[in-house]
Amino acid sequence: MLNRKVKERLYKFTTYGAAFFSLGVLLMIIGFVFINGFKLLNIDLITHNYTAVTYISDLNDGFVLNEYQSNIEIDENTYYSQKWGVALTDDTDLQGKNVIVVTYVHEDSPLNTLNNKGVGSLTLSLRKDYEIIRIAFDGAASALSSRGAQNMINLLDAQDNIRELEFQTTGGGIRGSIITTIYLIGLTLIFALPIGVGAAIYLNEYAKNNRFNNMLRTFIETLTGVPSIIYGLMGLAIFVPITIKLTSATGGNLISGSMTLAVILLPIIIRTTEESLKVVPDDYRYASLALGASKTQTVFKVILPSAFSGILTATLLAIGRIIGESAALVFAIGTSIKDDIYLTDKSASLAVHIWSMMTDEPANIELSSTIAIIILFMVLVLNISVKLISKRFMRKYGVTQ
Amino acid sequence: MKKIKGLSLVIILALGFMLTACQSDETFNTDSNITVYTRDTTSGTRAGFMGGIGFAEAESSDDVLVEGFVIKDNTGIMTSMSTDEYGIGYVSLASLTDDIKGLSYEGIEPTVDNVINNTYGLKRPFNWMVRQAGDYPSQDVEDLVEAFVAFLTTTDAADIINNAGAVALPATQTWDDIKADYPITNQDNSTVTLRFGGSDSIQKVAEALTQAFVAKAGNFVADHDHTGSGDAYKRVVGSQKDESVGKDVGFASRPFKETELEVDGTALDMDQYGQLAWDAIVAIVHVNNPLNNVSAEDLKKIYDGTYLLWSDLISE
Repeated sequence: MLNRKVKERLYKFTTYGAAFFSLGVLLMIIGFVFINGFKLLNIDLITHNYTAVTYISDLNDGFVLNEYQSNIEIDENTYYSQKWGVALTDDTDLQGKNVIVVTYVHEDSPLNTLNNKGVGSLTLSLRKDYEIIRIAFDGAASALSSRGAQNMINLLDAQDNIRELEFQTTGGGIRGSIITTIYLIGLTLIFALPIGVGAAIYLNEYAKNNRFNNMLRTFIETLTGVPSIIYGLMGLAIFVPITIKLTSATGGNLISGSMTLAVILLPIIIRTTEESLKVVPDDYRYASLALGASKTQTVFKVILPSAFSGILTATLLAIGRIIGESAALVFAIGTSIKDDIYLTDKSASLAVHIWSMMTDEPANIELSSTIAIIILFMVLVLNISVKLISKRFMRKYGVTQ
Repeated sequence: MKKIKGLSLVIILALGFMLTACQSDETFNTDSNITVYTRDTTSGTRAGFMGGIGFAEAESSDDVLVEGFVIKDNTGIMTSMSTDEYGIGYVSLASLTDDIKGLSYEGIEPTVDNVINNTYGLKRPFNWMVRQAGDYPSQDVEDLVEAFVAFLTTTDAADIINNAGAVALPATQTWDDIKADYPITNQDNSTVTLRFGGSDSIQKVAEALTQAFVAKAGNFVADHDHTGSGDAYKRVVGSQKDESVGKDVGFASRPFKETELEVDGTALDMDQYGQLAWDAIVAIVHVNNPLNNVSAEDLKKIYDGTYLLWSDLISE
């Protein structure tokens, strides 16, 4: 027999162990995400479009090659062509791929006034921060971005004319996916909150304790355990055709996606709201009824405000679930990453954006981790703000739980 | 004070836990079993690899492979090879990174230059397929697809393909030479959407190609949805062509099967499909593995189970 002290110490140590294990796992996840994703994290990623705009151009007739002197600082990754008056740098784009970026164009350089070979405005000019994809020459091998800036400058210096210059704006940003996520949160809550809160009020305030209502409650609880991919299938089979019929949509779209998410969220919202309605003391109900208020007045004017913080918690949990859900959305909206977001068009949320980066060949773990950091940050901000709001609200109504 | 002590103990233990989870051993034991990784039978990479090493039976059947092989997708093989010291797998050259070791094949290093000068032997074709004439959503789409297919044979497209890590077929004419034949490319096409799909190994190349061609052809919208070589036929001319997943251009990272060159017994037009590039496949191992070079015969013996231990292959 162990003596009591040793036994107690053993129990105590087990709790310490459990705590450090959970903390360790959490730190490992956050550490992994930060180590991998931190170097791609910058404001450009959040503000830029995903699709880059490509331009093709050639030189204006009567261009002049010259000795373009410049006084710019040249670091070790930058190469300058005096002949063409342009400086190029080896860099990585927002997705971590190697690209050649224009860092300087001399004001008299022939590259400042280019003919547009595509459709649109007639003239183009090469400016700072554009990425050069390739430069093609007459009767010589083309300069490609995959061979690096030094190679491109050397080839450029050896030529006196350019047949075609292909360059693009910076792409790979996640602006569209962030907007999609915000749309999804708003729309889903519009669908899910009234139904969820209403169902919770019915179950807790109006429903009699009979077999039908007990069954209803059990069914709702069972819904929590259904894997989200099955909801996704249901969204594809039911909500997508409905929205195609009612709106101008042609396939999966944001509305069908938020309807699917709303169904996923219902059990969470009902459960959490019901729990918070349960803890409202019965004294409130009796007092309200005794003052002459009707049952409906009691529920909506007295009980509901007291349960506000519980509903807020339900909303927070719901938003967390919306931000994190990907499996259902892959079916119900689709996976194409878009920059212009329409409610009746397909689009990708941040979580689906990660999914899509990871199914690329090769998988882009760095960018996925960066998006994960952004998601973690969003959830943290939500968490804190909901806590602050509910604290203020509770003080205002004098409700404490 | 007691609180701080408890908290710091928890943090120290947590850090220790993280450190032990990250540690790895540095020595390579050649007496270990070889863990064989492979793609599944629908993969174009697998067809190219097995065909390339002279083990064609394994292209579409798992039964002939060594016992205990592991099936993973492309990313799965890459991550396994950075953790499993005794594994061997294969990926497309464009996927190769510094975290894993790409083996030379028959003494030739797997580099883009060696594929371009045609000395590296383990490669597979990248193919395209388009819809039947008259079977497009609109005339504009049909004309643009026709122009895109013509673009694939130009030096401009060859540059883009090489730039994206694949190896282009030889080309002589430029887009400037032939663009007068495709007047559709001179108008504003920003309301026209072309749907591209098929092999996900070709996705990077296909996206680079459409990005370049969009600028040349009136800024049409290129919608990419790549799901695997098998879907190239299915969604362009096969059973799913009229569903919402239907595509206008499909890509396959392997030769088309004979059943994929006909619809209901009628052969496809010769100009409905073709090759756009070559891609090299590289056998990969963990960075600690002393092996540097491998022959087709070695690989076949590993995959059919003749070689079970690394010492069968590494003599020292």
